Amino acid sequence: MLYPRIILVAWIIFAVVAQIQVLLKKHPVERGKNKRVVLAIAGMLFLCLAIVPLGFIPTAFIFFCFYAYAFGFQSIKITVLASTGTTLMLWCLFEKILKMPLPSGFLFSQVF
Amino acid sequence: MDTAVIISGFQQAFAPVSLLMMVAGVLWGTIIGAIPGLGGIIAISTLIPFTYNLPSSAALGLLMGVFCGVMTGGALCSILLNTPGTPQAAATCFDGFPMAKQGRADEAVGWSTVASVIGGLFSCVILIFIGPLLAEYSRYVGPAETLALLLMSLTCIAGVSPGGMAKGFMMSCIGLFIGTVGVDPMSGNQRFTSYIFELQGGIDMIAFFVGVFAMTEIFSRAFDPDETAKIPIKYTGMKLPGRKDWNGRLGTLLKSCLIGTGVGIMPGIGADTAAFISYAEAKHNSPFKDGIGKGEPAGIIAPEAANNAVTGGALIPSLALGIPGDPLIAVMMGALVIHGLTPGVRLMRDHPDIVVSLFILLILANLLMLPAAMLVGKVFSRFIRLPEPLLMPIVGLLCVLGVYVATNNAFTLQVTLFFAIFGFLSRLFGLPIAPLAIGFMLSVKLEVSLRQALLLTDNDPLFILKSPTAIILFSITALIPLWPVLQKVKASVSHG
Repeated sequence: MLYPRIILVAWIIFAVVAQIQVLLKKHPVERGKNKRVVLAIAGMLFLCLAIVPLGFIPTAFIFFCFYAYAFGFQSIKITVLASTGTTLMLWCLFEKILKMPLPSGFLFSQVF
Repeated sequence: MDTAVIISGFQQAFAPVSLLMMVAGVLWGTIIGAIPGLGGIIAISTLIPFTYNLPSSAALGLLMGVFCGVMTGGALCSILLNTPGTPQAAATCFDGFPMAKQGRADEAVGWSTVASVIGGLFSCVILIFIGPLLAEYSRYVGPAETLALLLMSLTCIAGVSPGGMAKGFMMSCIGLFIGTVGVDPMSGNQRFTSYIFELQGGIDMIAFFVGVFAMTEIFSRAFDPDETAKIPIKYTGMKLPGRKDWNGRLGTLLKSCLIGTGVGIMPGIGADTAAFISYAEAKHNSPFKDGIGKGEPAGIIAPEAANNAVTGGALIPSLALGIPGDPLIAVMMGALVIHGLTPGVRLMRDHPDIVVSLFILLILANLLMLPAAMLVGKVFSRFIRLPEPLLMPIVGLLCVLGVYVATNNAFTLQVTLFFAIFGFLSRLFGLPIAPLAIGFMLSVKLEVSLRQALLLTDNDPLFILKSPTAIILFSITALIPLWPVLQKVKASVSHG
């Protein structure tokens, strides 16, 4: 454990120095669109957690629609079309061309 | 070498099937390299079954094409989406994407492709003319020298980080610490895994890079109060740099080629490390160092020339000694063995014609990268013209799929998300990402070198004094953090 200890000691030293520098000259933290970033993180969390149990196709479809909404896309028709097209295209690319199995999930495990 | 052997090598390399396979390999490599998370290993592994029925030279053409194409594809993705297609292209994000955001994506792709081609060709020439000699020398590069080189590059990048040296070093330490998660490389004990099985192999490199670069970019775009950040990247086609543009940047190119080839020769370091070392060097010594990190071509030239120069460099110990210089080379060596070509001293002796054809195919593959980048770039340009609300979910899906198929593990996705949030918060609080990435990248290699050096000298911490090369490199490393202080002293003395 010598190596991690050396790193931890160095980390603490530099963190203290950086903290002192920050205290000496205060930087205002920019405030952005917190709601949108929370939605973006929530969407990604859903994708990462649900892709295996739900399967790629439904998860990707829901994720795409949700993200398009979160980033402010208005047209529902285009969102659904783009979502369907992207999901199917990616599924074909990975499953059929690259021969890399994507999670089928409990809904589609009997179909694919 | 016998003229008949050279002629036979040329005949095999220029056989229509070899050339066709090489073109297919370059295109395939560029496409796979451009998909975040997938990389050279996947690109080559998926093609190995297709090589079974091909003649050896055609199989070599295919593999060499993929080998070179992957680097080009990775850079395209880094520049246009701030998403490293491959770990080797991670350092290209630092200047490639800022250039693209400034409306200079065409230029950035041009710089990256030209630097890649020159880096690749440079290492080919080195491979052909002084390969066997360098392979012999690489056996004398010990852990002390490797440690000194890695520490120097880490110090270079941390020392010139935006936001101050302390923040840079702190982020390097965090990166180094993240790299220690997993099984101890020497003793085999678990470290910081909380007995989570999936962490025993350490933090996955693809998960880390996709998290801190690509997903962080998505979150930053969702958050960014700066409306200019949402202007879509415009890419109309590659714009090659003019002769005047090279003024002051040729030195960076040459140094990066040398670094890439040198790192490639050292077994086990790899193209990703070469790219970061070269970037760190450029950031510290380039005449354009003030602009590096904000969208400066020298920041693209350095990693791209270096990671492509590794191709030839890494082939030197592989072909001459049978030691893979890179994980990608190891996979490729496996593919060669399938064709009855065992890399090592005997390959040069038993199949010299194949070695000649390999050299020629490598040169041709490097030259082909230019049209391949143009072609794949055109397809990419349509993709990035999509409005942001449609582009972001596609990038998010590609990131998650890339990580999933590369690791086949749902836990890695959670790790990716963790690093994405960490990267986003770091960006929000003005903490530099580059030292974090390079610290993580070099952590295992640094630890192994340190501990090997200590073992070889019976835990004598003064092992550095036993190698002249290490002494020089350690001295430079020690001087880097002191350099700004020395400059201030010099300035105050000159002002009286």
